Amino acid sequence: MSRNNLSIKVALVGAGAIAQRAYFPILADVPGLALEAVVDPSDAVNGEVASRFHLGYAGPNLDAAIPFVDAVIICTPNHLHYPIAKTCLENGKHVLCEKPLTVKPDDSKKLLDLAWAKGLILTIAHVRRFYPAVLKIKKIIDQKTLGALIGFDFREGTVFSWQTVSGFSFDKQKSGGGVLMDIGVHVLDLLFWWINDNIASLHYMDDSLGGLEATTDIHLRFHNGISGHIKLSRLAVLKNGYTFHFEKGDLYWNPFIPHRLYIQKKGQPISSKKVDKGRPMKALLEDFSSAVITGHPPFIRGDEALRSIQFIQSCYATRQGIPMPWLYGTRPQCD
Amino acid sequence: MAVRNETTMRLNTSKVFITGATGFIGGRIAERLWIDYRIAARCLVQNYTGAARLARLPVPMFPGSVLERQALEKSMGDSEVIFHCAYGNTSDPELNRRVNEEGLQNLGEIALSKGIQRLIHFSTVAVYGPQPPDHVTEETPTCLSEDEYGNSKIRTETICRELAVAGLPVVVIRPTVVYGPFSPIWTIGAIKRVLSGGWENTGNIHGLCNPVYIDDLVDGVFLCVDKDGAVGQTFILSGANPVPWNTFFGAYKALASGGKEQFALPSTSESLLLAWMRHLLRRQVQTLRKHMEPQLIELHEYLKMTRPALTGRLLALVSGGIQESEKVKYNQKTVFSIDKASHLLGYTPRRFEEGMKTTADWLRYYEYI
Repeated sequence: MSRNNLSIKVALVGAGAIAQRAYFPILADVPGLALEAVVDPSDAVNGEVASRFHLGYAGPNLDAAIPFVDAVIICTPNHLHYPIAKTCLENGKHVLCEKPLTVKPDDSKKLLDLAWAKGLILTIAHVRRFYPAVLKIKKIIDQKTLGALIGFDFREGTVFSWQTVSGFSFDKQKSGGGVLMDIGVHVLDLLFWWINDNIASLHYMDDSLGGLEATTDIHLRFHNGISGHIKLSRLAVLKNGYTFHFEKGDLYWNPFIPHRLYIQKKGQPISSKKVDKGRPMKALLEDFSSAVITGHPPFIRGDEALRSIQFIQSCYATRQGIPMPWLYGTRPQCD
Repeated sequence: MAVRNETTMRLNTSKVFITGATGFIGGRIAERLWIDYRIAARCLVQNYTGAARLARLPVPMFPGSVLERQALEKSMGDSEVIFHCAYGNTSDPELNRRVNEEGLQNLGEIALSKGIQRLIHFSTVAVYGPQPPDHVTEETPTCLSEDEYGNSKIRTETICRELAVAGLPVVVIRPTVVYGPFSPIWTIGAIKRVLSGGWENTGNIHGLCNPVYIDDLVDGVFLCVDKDGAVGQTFILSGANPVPWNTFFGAYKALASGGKEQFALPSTSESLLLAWMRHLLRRQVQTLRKHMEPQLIELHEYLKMTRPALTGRLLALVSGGIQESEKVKYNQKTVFSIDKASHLLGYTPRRFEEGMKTTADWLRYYEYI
């Protein structure tokens, strides 16, 4: 299996922005994982990575890398997740895939079936699940510490500043969607994990003018009666934060300051609670490594990723435009 | 709205190329072309980081810079009209100069070789220098100054004249204070300024602002394509009415405070002491920020959640209103005339109050207020 008995040899496919920022700095710190191969179309990137790590392979060819490794981490543009994950699973390799698992729900389903049939681990890099505050919120909801959850209001907006290497984020064919497919996947993964129920009603709006949406406004209700609002944007810094309304008070969490929770019980002043920062990226990779070694299911199961992607497709299918009175200037609209 | 005359050039049936389409003005031109005429303009994109707004449109984006002739040639394709909005806005003055001047030269030469029918070049009223006269027209002489941006734009206007002599149908636009949705300085910057107490103690500010709503500017440049008489001309494009700077920022203050007075600071006897305290405080904050930015963000969030009123007062104290260096600018009483654009183009911009109504809707939706 590896250089030593406990190590899993991994290939990282797609050495662009997310790999450089999140994976390369931490891979050496994760016990049980050994980076053995890097696959990227850029010769310059491969050369640079090969000079930093002791690798069995660094080049553009996935097939050439596969014999060197037990598992694969996929960090490519979204539209390549499916074909690469499929090739890896068919070749008996475990897969950790950046979000979203695939652009189309059907493709996610095919990958899940393939992983199941081959007895392989397939997990998704929903790194926010590993924030200690996120786990704390889950406990507060499940244990009804503040009574039952009634509603929520999630707002997450920043002016897009991701230094995308390939520019795929703004190519509809390659990204599969705009802000909903990007930040939205994280937000929805948390929401569905926290609330764990099916959707009863959905009203989805975005600001696409035929291209990729940069702002979305979603109103939804779960079968259990919990209802709420999600607003996401790549165009402006919104009043960011996740507010939860419980029977006995409100809970507030800001994903940009993830180690602090604010709680306001009814009739009482707001109080702040510091939570451990943790090392979410390391925890994600350790979870993957542990799942591969032990065969136990990973913390984030493939079917959970499928749920978010199916929801996103429902959103796009029922899309309405956000009313934007500032959009039409002084001239009449065309048909 | 302006009345259109019979002309040989029609924007609504033209193929269009935009440089600087990920910016504020270029982005709005791309939107209006799509919304008004279903024209999917070809857009030159130097950096995808700023492309989120543009990507909402089904427009082709071409990576490259105005300094790369091959990229320019390819991205321009068979366009007939060019809106040249790209300009150097980095911290490197030499690179900015090259983008502004060499970039325009490249663009103009390729446009000439392709027989482009209209090149709309965006200049600025900064070409009149930091202290223009009280009444400015297109005939008022330009003035070199310490402002490299203005100087560079003067040189681009010279290049435009040379391109015009060579046969390129060029129009030069000098916009004033462009505000409205997505305006980085005069809407987003303005609301942030008033929210942080940066427009206080303004009793000694008596100057005039010449605001133009973004869609009026776009209407104006569209008219420059449709009107043959625009070719070879320079136009100042401002709004219908200049307003005092206190009215301009006052409109944002009213939006920020919901009609209530915010952050009232002492205005006379204590102001010198406060200015000195602010100076010290600002220096400390800058030093702290260098070393402790995450902690400061967390503290700000904590205060915002638990002591919102105190946060506003602290920000007002640090910011402290008009800076001494800004007083000359905000006391100028220059009026930029739009008579030429009105007569030659039929340009009829809206009043400031109208533009601010739409701007307010936008600010509310994006949660600036």
